[in-house]
Amino acid sequence: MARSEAARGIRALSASRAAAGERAVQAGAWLAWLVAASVAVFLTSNPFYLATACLAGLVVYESLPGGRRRRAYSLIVKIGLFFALLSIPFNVLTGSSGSTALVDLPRLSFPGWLGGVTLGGQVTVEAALYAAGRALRLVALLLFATAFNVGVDHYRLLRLVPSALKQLGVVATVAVLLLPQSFAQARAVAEAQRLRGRRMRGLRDAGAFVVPVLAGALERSIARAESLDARGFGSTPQGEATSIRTKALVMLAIGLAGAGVCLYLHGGDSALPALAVIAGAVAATMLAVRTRGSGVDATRYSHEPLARPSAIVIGCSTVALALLLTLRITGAGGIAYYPYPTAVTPELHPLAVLAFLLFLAPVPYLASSRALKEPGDD
Amino acid sequence: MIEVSGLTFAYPHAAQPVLRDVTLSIQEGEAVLVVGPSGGGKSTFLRCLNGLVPHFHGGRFAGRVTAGGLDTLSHQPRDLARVVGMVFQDPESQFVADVVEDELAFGMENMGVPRLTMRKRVEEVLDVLGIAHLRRRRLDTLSGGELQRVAIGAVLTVQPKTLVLDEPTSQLDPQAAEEVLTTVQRLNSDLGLTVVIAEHRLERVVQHVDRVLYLPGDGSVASYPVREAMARLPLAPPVARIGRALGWEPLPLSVREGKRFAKGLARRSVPVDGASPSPASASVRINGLCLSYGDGDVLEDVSLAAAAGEVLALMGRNGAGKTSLLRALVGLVAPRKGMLRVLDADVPETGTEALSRQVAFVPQDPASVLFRDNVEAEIADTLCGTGRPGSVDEALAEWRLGPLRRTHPRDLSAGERQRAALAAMLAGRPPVVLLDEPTRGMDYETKELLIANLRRRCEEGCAVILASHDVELVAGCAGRVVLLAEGRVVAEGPAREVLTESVTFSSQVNKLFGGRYLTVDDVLGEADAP
Repeated sequence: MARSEAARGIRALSASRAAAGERAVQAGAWLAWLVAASVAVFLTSNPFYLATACLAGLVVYESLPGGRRRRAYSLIVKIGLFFALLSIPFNVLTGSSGSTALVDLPRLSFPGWLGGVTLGGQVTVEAALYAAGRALRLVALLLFATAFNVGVDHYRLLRLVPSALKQLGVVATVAVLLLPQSFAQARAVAEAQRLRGRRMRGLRDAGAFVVPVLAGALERSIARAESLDARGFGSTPQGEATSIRTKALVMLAIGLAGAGVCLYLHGGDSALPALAVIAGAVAATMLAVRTRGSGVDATRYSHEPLARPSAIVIGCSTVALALLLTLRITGAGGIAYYPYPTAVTPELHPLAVLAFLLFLAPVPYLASSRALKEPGDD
Repeated sequence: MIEVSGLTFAYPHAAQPVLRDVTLSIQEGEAVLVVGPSGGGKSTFLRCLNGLVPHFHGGRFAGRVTAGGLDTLSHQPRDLARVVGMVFQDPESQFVADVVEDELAFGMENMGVPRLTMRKRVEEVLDVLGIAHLRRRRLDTLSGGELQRVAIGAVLTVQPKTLVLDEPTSQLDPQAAEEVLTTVQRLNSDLGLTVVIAEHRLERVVQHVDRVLYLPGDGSVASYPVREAMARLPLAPPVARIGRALGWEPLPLSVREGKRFAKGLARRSVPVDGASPSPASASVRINGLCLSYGDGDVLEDVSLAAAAGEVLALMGRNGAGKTSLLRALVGLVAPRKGMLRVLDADVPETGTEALSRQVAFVPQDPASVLFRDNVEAEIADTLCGTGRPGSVDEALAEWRLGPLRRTHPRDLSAGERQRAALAAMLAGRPPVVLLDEPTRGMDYETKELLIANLRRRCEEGCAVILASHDVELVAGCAGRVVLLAEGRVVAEGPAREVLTESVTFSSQVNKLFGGRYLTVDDVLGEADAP
């Protein structure tokens, strides 16, 4: 009896080990999750829902396995949190409209050539609520993006890009890899300076800090470029060179995409010109893919069907987004919340809270992959 | 397999060529070891074999190199990748993917290998290297030795005829280095892969290679059969040095071969020295130290002392807490409990910056401590920052860096960089010196210099604590050894006693002769040491 139980246990263990790969959330699912979660955060301005989103993001982030990449990103999270918190008093002090006064501070007006900003004056409940909402949104986005970056397999993610753009994908991967290494380098340089009796004071010491960190990062990228070259990256199978036309189309697509983003950020009120330019970029990309497409070039190793965890994550994300969109369009649940002119308590609708909690979908699969990895983790 | 004829190469802006009129050939299935002092052109020579020199680095190139019949001048490195696979020093800078399997496939994807063939080859390589259990692991969770084996695997999947390794173990601890070198040796003997390897751990590789290429540093490359090389070259593992001095024929290359000769040898008695210092007079005192990071305890109730004028070695496997102990001693990590005093100053109270006047700590990675424009400025920076007395010239002379004083650290070879880091961190003769794994990837010459300098500093009254796996280094200069395991002290005593009673930590000489013998000098006596 006991023996058969033990055997079953061992079988279950080995089965779980074999399934470790299939259990992971795949790159495409991570992407769907990030897009849905970010759109959801942008849909609402209700502080209760945004707080729920922050909570979901935090839980996902915290259940990710540790390791070097996570340590590097934890610094980004800290910096982000700092700025988000800083934005609250700033917004409160600069935006002094609203009808429910909290305190009255001395008013400080800057002349027009300094931006004409007014600081202080009446601090209102509305301004505080508004500022808190914006900070919460920032934190939620930051947590979702960080969790995505730590959790996703960057290489597989970029392999989702069509093969005509593959080289670009690898370059992007290398750039992503550089970040955690630079953080490690920064820590080492800071320590070395302390060991040599230097405390960081002022800008001149910052220079002595930034330069070696950048130099180290540069050196590492050169070493990596060398290794990529030696491993045949960019080699031309069957002696067939990438056609000039494809290259030109790819360049065009990149240029148009950049221009579109700039237009969107700095253009006038209408988003139409920006959208038109971005549509052009998409068209150029598709053309480039078509001129290449037939698989003469580099092949791909990984081809995985959608596994259950990924399907569940995609499903939950889609349902959550659909739910929130419906609520927003019907106006139920107080998804959109604007404290001005007079603040009222934001609504709290169980369906909306549930929708944000659906973004916790990746969590069970993260915990299991961590448990399996731990024995070999030094 | 590889033909080199009349090869001369100089880096851009360099006055002297690194390689001068080199002609040699490497046969299929051969295992060739490349040795020579650091900065002697080993890395450059290896990069000539797959076309990274001159295609990636530029410079003046004359002569002809062919690999598997392909001329490296008319073929790009990425096309030569099918013939020559190259593995670099730092495993981390070679990777692209997140997961082992993807990394192994990357080279093949670049070459357009069909998917089914890729699957088959990945399986084969996973088995050949014994890393099948790692296939789905993320690279950032692997140990150094595992990473380097994955790097070798990533090169093997494109099925090159030749494997070139540029000091593949220099960033690794001894266990990991052992894994990698064993793997390389198997690839050569089981699969008949041609192997060209630059490696400092001669005692681990000489018995497995056929030929030695020696680059003395003047641009020439001399080729010797391995036994002849060990008999003639200044660099040799302890067994060969003893065999050479005592005229053993044929010259033994491994402990196994040497045993036969060692049996009949008369033995002198070697005294055991090195008593524990009385805690009152010690330069460094640690009492009941407990340290934890996040969730785990790293050090548990550690007490030890080091006196002025002695070298204390901390040994133990990876993760035993050696590095943490040293970091606590300079105040980089705060202890949870316990007393840490250096020259009667309380460490956590004093702080790293203030301590730096008295205490020098050299961390593991020498590149991370260098951040000035030239070697001279690095040393001056320490003297100025710490306020230690001393001169730049003295430090330059001590580490033989005179000719390199105006060189940018980036342009130094790996060994020279280590010397520069030691010079920069130890400038101004601080009374307490802490070294973390100082000989990782270090060549014999630099190691000898380090041992000599440490001995001299001890005579001047300096207290040295070094954390090291390197048995030869510890045998050569340490008076006492403290053995750590799982954050606790498990053994402490005179170096000779602790090292000769251990299996894993005994030196090659001790394995050969037993008893209390540790170093080549013990056997030969000071007078006739080579």
